[in-house]
Amino acid sequence: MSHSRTWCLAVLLIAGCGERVLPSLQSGAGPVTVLPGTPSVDLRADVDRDGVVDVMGTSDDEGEASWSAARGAVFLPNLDDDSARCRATDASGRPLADALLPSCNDAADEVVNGDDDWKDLARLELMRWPEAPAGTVVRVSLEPAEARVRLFKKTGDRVEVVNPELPLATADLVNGATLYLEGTDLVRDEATWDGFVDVSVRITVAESRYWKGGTYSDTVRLRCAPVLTFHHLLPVETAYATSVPREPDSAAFLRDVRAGLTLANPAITFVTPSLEDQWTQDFFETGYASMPGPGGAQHVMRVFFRSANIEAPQDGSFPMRSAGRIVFTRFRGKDVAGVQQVDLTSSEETQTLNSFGNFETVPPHVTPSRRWPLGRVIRGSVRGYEPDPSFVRMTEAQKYQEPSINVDTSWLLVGHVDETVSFIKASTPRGWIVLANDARLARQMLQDVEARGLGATRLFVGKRWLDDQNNEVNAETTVSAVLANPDVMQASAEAAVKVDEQLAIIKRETGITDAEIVKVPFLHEPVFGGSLAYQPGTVNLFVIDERTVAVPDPHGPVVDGKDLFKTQLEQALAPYQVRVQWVENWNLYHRAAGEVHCGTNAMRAIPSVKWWEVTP
Amino acid sequence: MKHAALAVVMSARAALAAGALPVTLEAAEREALAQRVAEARVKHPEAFKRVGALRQGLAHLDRQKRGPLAPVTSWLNGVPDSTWALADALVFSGEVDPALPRTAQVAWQAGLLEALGGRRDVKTEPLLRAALNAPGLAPPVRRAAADALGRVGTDGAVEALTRAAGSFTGADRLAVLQGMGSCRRLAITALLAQLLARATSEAEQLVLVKALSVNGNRWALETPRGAPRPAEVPRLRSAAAGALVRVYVSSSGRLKTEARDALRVVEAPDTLVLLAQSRALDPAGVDALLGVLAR
Repeated sequence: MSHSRTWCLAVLLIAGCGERVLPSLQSGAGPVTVLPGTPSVDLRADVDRDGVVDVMGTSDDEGEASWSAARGAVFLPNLDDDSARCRATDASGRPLADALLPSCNDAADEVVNGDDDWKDLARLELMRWPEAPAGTVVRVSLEPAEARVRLFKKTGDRVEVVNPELPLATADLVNGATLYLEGTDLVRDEATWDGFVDVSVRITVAESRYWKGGTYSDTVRLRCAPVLTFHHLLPVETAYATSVPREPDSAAFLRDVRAGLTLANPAITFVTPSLEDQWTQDFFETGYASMPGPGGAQHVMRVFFRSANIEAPQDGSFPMRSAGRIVFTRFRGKDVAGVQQVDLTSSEETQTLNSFGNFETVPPHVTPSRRWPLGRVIRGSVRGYEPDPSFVRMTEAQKYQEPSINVDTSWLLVGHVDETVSFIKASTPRGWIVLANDARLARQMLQDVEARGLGATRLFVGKRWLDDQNNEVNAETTVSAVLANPDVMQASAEAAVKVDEQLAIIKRETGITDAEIVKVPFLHEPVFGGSLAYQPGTVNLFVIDERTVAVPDPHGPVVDGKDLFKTQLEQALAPYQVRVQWVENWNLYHRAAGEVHCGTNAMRAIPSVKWWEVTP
Repeated sequence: MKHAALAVVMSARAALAAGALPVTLEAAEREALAQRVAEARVKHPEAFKRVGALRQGLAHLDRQKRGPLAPVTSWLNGVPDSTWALADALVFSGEVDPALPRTAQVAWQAGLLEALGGRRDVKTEPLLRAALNAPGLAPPVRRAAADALGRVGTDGAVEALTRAAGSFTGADRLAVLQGMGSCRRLAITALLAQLLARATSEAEQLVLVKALSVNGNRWALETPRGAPRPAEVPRLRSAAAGALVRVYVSSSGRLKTEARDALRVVEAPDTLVLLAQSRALDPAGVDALLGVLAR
C-alpha cells in the first residue's frame, strides 16, 4: 500500500507527488493551509506475475500483502550453481562428505554469482520518497523466514546484503532502492516454514510541522516456488541411463533405449554416465522450480533430487547411496539445482522405498474436491512400511502435487510403485490412461496356449540366469511348466489381487475408470517373502513421448510365429497410437529385479501450466 | 564301496569347509546327506559348479541389487538337478565370506533355502528341519527355512514347524510364522488359524494373515505340486477362509485390508457363506467385500 498516494489525493494535488511539498502556498485564491502530510512508504514486487515490477502504475501494488492463485509475488530457492563455482572435492582433492556436498549453491554465499544468478532473484522496488525527512529510520524485515531468504540491495554497481538488524540509509528511501530476494532453501517442512515471506519496509518519521510522526510500513508477501516433478504426459528432453563399465549387456540396453529416443525425437539428449549403479531411475529424480519471467513466461530452475537411500549407515562421511552424488558432481550447475534430504536414522527395512522407482507422478486430473493440473505424486507406502519421513515431509511441503496417492507395495520384494503401474498420454477426454500389471491375464494367456495343445511352447528362449564367470544357466521353460509351478502361481495370484487394490485406490483418487486401464500381463514369483516379476515386467517401461514407449522384451512363448506377450501389448496400445520400442534388458535388469524404467530417467518439458495460477 | 569311499571324501571335505548355515545334523543324517551329495556331485557336476560360481559372484550380485536383497533364489531356481548341490552349499561347502555385506550373506543363505525348498524333495526334510532350528539366523533366513520346510510338507515338516512356532520368540517367531504358510497341510492351516484368533499384536496378526493367504492360495493349490496332500485341500481352503473372515469382520485399518486381500487370494468356495454368516458383526464391511468379490 502506498501512503503517499492517499496523501496526494487528500491535498488535491497541490504539488506533484514526486516533489517536495511546501506546508503552505500562495495561490490566486489566497493562502492554502496544508495539514502535516502522511509519510510515504511503498514496496513493490511482481505481484501480477508479468515478469516485471511495475513502478509507474499500480498493477503490482494492489493486493501485494496477500497471496493467491490470482496475485502474489514469487521467489526461487536459489540452489543452482550459475557460475560453476561448486566443487565435489575438498582442497586436498578428497570427495566431499555426503553432508557437505549439497552445501554449495548460489544461495550459500552472500554474493550474486553472475548475470545468470541475477535472473534467479526476485526483484523488489522500494519506491522513492524524495521528501523523506532527514533522520527517517528505514528498516526491512523478512518474516517469518529471515533465515531462509536473503535480500540484496543494488545501488548502481554496488551490491550488498540487507541485514534486517540494521537500518537502511534514509537515502535509500529518498532515492528509492532496488532489492532482490533469493530463497536459501526450498520448503522442507511445513511445520517449520510454509514458504511464505512477508517483506516489510518500516519507516519511522519524527513528528514535525510537515509530517505526521510515527511508524509506517508496507508489506509484500512472496512465496517460495515449490519444486515439482514431471508426469509422463510431458515429452522427454534429456534421457539418462547408466553406462555400466565392463558390462556388455549395458551397451546393448543403451542401444535399444537410444533407438526408442531416436524414434520419438532425434533431438533428445541422451546422457549415459559411467557408474556401477545401473538403477538410473532410483538414485535421482528430476523436477523444476519456476517463477514469473519476462512476458509472463516461466523462469525455470531445473532440480535434481538425490535419493534418500542409506547405503552404509556406519560410514560417518559417506552413508548415502553413492551414485546419487551425481546430482551434485555432474548435474548441479547453471540453472540446475541439487537437493538432498535424508534422515540417517530411518529404517533399514524400508530403504528400498526411498528409491525413486517408488516415486512417480500421476498425470493431471480433476476430482470433485480439487484440480490437479500439475499431476500428483504416487508412491508405495502403507502404515508401518513407509519411505524416509523427512523426505516425504519435504515433498508434501511442495503442496501442488500432494498429498500423494499411497498404494501398498509392501507385498513386492523391491516395493516400488513402478513395478506394477505406469501412465501414458491418450487421446481420451482425460488425456491419459493407466497401464497396470495383470497376472490374471498372463495366466489366462498361458492357459489358452496350453488348451491348444501347445503347452510345450518355450518361454525365455535363449535367455540365461547366471552371468558370472561364464557359468550361465538356461532360463528356458515351457508354458505347462510355468502353469504347474506352485510358487509362480502363488505369487501371481497375490499380485493379481494386490494390483486390483492399487487400482482401486488410483480409481478412487483420480476418477479413472476400468475403460481407461490397459492390462499388462506378466506373472510373479516369490522371493524372500516378497513378490518379483517372473516374466520381464513390461509395465516397467520408459514413456518417451505420447507416441513412443520403450518396453522390456518379454521373451514370451512364440505361437504362430509371434511372441504372444509382445503382440498383446502392441495391440493393446495400438488404439492410443502408441508404438513400442522393445528393449533387451533380461541380463542386466530383469535378472537383478528391475526392468527398463528402473534403468532409465528423464528430464521432461516444463508444463505450460504455471503452478502459481493453481490453487493447491 | 564306491559310496563309502565318496562319503569318506566328503567327510574330509566337510572337515575343511563349512556350510552356509550352522546346521547341526545327527551323525547318521549327516552321513546320509554326505553320501547323497557325493553321488550327485558325480552325476550332476555342472550343478555344483554353477552353485559354487554364484557364491563367488555374491559381492557383484549384492552391488547390483535393486531391492533389499539380490534375488539369489531366482538364479538358483534356474540351476537344474541342483537339489544336492544346494544342500551341499548349505551344510558343507557354501560358507559365506564374512567380509561380504550382511545383505549378501543373508541373500545367499535365504536363497539357498528357498531354492532347495522349491524342489519339494522330501529327502531334504532332515536338513531343512535342522536349518529351521539353527542358532543365530537372521530373521529372513529363518523365514526362508520355515518356508522351505513348509514346501516339503511332510508330517515331519508339520511337526517341526508346529514345534518351532511354539518355541521361538520375538523376530524369530514371526519369521517362522511368516514362512510356515507355504506348508499347505491342514494341520498347519488350523494352527495358523488358532494363532491368529489368539494373536494380540498387529504385527503378528499381519504375519498370520499373510501366511494364511499363502497357505490357502487357490492358484497354487490348483497346480499338481501345490499341496502335499490333495485330499486336504477343500478343508484347508475353508479353514483358511474361516480364519480370515473372522479377522476381516472384527478388525479395521491395514489388518482388515490384508484380510480382505487374503480372502480374495484364497477364493474358497464357501467364502460367501462364511461372510454371510458373519454379516451381523460388520454389515458394511461384509457388503463391501461381497461387492468386490462379485466383480
